[in-house]
Amino acid sequence: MKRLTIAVPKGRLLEPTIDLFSRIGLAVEVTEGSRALVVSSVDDRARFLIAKPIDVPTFVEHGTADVGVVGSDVLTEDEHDVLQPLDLRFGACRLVLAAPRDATTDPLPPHAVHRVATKYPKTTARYFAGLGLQAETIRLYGSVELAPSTGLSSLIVDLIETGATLRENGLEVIEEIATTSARLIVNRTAQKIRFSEIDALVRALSEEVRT
Amino acid sequence: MRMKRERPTVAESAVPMTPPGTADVLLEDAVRMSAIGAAVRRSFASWGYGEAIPPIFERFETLLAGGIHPDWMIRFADPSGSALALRSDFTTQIARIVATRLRDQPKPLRLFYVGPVVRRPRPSVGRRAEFVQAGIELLGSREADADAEVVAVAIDALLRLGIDDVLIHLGQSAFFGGLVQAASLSEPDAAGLRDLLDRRDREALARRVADLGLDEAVGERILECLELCGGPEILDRADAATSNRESASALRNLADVYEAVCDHGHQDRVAIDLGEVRGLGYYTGLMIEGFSRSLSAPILEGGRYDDLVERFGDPCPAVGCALDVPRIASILAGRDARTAPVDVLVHYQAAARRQAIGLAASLREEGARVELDVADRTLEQTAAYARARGIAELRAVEANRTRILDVTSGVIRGGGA
Repeated sequence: MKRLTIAVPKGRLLEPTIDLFSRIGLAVEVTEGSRALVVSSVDDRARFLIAKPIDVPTFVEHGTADVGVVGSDVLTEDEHDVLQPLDLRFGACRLVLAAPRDATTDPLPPHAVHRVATKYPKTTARYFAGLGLQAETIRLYGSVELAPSTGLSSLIVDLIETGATLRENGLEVIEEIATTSARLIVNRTAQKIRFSEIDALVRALSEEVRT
Repeated sequence: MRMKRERPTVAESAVPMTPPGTADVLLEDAVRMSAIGAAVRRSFASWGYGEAIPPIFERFETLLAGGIHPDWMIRFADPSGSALALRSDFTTQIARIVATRLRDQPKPLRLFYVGPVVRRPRPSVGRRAEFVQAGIELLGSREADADAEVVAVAIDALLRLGIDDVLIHLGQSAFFGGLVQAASLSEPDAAGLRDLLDRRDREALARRVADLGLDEAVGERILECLELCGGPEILDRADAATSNRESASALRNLADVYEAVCDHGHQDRVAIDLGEVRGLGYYTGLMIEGFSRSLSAPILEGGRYDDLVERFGDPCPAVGCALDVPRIASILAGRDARTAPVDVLVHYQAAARRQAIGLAASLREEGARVELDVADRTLEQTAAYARARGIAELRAVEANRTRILDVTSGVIRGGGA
């Protein structure tokens, strides 16, 4: 049987993810600043692919990785045909709609076409459609907070942990769209052809995140 | 050091590309695809199945009856404005055929098909819009033996293709159906539960079950679907947990099918999977999914569809399944060595054309694939061509002698007439 392949996200979720897997016996040594993108677990039972968060579901959907860890914000933005058996509960953030703090007018007048800058255009479009409001989304790949102060948009939809960056850029939360956290995802076919192995992994992780 | 192949640089706009989601299948890939087609035709025919060749496009409403979402279809209009669509599913066409043209045929009726289906591609998923399916339909029997035969024919075809690590998952759409029915859930609530089960999200499913205020025992049974995957012992476990009639009869059916599949000799190749709740909208009973351990995607899908034929006017129970030919080809591509399309190349001098044609014909009689060198060039140029194409043997026919050149080693034999 091939080794289990686990896709893990670079960035803020990497450390808690590696830590979680080591607690269920799949220890891996990822040295700070290392450029290796494929790392074996210490006991060689599993192989970790270190990928950009937005690419994790793609690796899992194609079966290049059997399982993966990714923020639920990524899963709701791009619909991937993967199993989502477990909320891992770490990396909690809020996806929020924010506007300049000093705005004296209603930030969401019902008749207007709202310009919204975001890394999550599909989630944003769905959210506005759900409110019955019109929106034009502008896709950005970073520093979304810049958009209102530079006149690119009047609103933003972004992921925040504490909200400090918003405040520093003169923005405030108008609505919370969703709370997000890290999720375990599993390839559909892997779940079938390696059922007991993956079932055991999900149970072990589930026990661990509950305690 | 690996040599980098020189590529001509051509402005992208100057290259005539195929539309997104399509591809040209060429050379050894094409050989492999048609070899799979030929092999499965032989397998299906050996079980008494006859080929059906439905049209590549149909009336849109016909295909709509089959449960393929309209967004997936490639639609267009004929000159009078009526809606047509490219074939998105063979089974729907077969159902139409059996309800109409073949309604008076003695049953059970066994049909197979091999050909492309076209569905709008999902970007980024690496799935083409057009892909070849090879499938069978067994119409006019409700028996578990018919279900088992379809499974056995598919396994047989896969084994004959050299996929020897086949794993078949058998599910039953009426099992979960019976559970939600017994809980008297509304359609949207049932769909919500099916969705969460489909994602295998245990916690969210448990929360939803609690929110719906379901009876504790019923809730437990729904949650237990997550565990019901494995060997035949799953059937006993599920049986102990169920009390509604529909689920119980679904389990009896599955047990019967399993036993019959074992009689076909495939006990080590089948598993029971009651957590699978997806599948095309038309399945009414058994659901079949097939895998090879070397590919992370199903290579076989099917099931029982007792209501589909009736939608075209004549009730007829039926069961069938389809092999995914490109995925099977991708497994075989990793195994077979690259083979040249030609065994022998016959080069000849103008004066020796008749002998050369005769030689080629007799080599073909012996089963070789033979190409005549119709280009005007020297033997050296022809040898270079043979090497580039991977043709192992070259025969040079002159008026009074024929030489045989082993293209890889360069050794020349013969010289006599």
